[in-house]
Amino acid sequence: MSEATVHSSVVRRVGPFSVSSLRRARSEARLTVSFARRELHSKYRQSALSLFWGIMQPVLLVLVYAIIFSQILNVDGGSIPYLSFVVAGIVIWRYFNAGLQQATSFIDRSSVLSKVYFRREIIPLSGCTAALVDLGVGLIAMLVVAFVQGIVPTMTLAALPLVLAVLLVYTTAIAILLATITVFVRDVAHAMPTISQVLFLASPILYPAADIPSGLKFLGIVNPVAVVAEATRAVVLEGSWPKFGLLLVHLCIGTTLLVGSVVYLRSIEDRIVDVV
Amino acid sequence: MLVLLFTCDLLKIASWMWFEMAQEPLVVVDHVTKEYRIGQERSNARALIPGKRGEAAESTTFRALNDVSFTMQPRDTLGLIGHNGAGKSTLLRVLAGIVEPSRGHAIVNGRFASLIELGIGFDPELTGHENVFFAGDIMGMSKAEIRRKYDEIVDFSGVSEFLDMPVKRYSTGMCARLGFAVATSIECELLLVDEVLSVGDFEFQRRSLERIREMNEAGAALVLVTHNLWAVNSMCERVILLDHGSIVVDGTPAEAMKKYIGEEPTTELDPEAGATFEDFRVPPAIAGKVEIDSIRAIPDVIRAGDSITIQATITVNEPCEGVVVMSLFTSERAVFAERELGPSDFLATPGTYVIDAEVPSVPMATGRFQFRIAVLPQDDRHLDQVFPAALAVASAEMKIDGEIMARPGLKLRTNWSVATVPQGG
Repeated sequence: MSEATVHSSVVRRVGPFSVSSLRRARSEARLTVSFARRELHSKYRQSALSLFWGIMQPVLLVLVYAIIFSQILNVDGGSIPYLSFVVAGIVIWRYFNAGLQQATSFIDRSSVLSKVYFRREIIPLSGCTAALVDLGVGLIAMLVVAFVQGIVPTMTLAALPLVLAVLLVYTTAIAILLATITVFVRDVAHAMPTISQVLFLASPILYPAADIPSGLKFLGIVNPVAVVAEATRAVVLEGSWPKFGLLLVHLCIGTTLLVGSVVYLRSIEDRIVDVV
Repeated sequence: MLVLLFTCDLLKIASWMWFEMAQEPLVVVDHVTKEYRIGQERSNARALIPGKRGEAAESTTFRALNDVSFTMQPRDTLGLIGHNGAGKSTLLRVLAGIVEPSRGHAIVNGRFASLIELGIGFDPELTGHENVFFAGDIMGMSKAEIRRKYDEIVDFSGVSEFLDMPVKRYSTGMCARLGFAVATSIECELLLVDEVLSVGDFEFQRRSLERIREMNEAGAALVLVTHNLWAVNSMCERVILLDHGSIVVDGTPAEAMKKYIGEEPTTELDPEAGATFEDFRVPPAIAGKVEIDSIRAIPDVIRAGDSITIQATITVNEPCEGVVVMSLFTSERAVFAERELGPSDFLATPGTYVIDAEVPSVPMATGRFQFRIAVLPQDDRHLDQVFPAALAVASAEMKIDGEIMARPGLKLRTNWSVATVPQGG
């Protein structure tokens, strides 16, 4: 046989031993990256200054938030300079929000879905993969801003991968779930901007979790965005260790949710084409 | 993510293990039924519950496929024909794993390439070059495989000069050619082709059919969905006729087409047309030396797949060199089938001859057709120049009803015979 790898469309129909699962997984991973790359490509190719806008949009947003909240509303980031505080929050939020945006990913790609079979989760996964670039750039920007504001990273930065792992599992799980549900209940697509807005404001992105009134404190523990945003600030900006227990619990829940979302999607994926 | 995909696949492996136990045919379609709900619903929320297929009342479902079963062996060539909405494309999508049957199951024991639509996944913003790789990815080809086939793909598509241009500036034909080239570059055991050959110009269609035939010869089985009965007739050894989702005929192309074209497939000679002799420019080399006295088609009425004999009476006044050819034209004077070269020895001996050109299986088509027999000064390979330069042309015009579309490039298999008519009788 040639070196040909065969992905799902074939595999599902082929006896399982014709092609190794590892190869198949590799081929699926490649397709995910391929979709992600295409998304970035077409996003950034259309305008001459597209990269510039890609950067300017969050930068301006952060500046506006920083001015409004620190100068007008007198919110402060505790021990952290407010600008760095907001940047950290926004970077985390933007990634999570990219996951929420995947709600319409199946609908947007209906033409491909109805013409060729591949593992359906590849579509929302690729959206999350493309957003990784944004996250990476954001994290670097966060370190730069922090450095400019006199914050030098300490040993605690070593805990950042764990924090990001929590963010990733939750984001991808929610992306897959939302994308699946939206196919059948289109209302989700309409509700998404509002839900996103509410979640943004309900999470300690622009204000510290410490400012949450005591009656609502549980929000800072239950909400993974809050947990991740707080932990990111702790490890990067405050030089303190995060709440490992809380992070690990969330990692477990998030992973379970992710596996669950994939299993769920696969259990009803054959209905997507009929509806999408 | 890899680990996740991996484990999920392991679960599938267990469930599919038993298929490996016995040597299965390439394709097994086992009592496949596919139902769609009629009407737009506000939400399909019920379908979100795993296991429960939101089955609606019988009256509100449309049965696209109704208890369809068949098997295919490697290298089989199967044509799916039927009226619009008969379920051909749905069946093809079931085979491609895109559409899941409501009941029954379909298995393909091999790698397949699907040409359900050309240019699947092409992103208009990306260049042709990038799209080749992306489309290859979607269809499950490895980078190495695409790279290996790249030159071949580009060569076939004929868009090599435009590879760095965004696909949105491509013409429809260019897109189709590139899409076809990518899709058929997969090494596969089964080729699923939906009505994709209708795009592109004649040359592209001819090359596409050729490419499909090549793949078949290289070992790929073929499922061809098309309204182009010419293609079905020439490519497929077996044809399934679907009607309202059910298999009506599963047999030879002739059987299926007879049924498809109607209870009374009509191929009638147009009595009005009769035999006509037109005024053609006769080359001096044989002017006056040969004359066609009459031409007629026997019998007057034929059915799809029946034989027909075109009979011409030719008088040779002086020995000359030339050839006898028969051609089939549409009423628009378009070449319908490649011309057939007849015997020409008799042109060397003066006399009256009856030439029979028997076509054992007449290709059917909508519209009116002309069988023409001509005597030409020499074997002129250029079809379009044949008749203006003919010595004599007579045509029998026939009217054929049916739903088969005309397609050039067809080869009529013709049996010729020459009989001498006794002089002075």
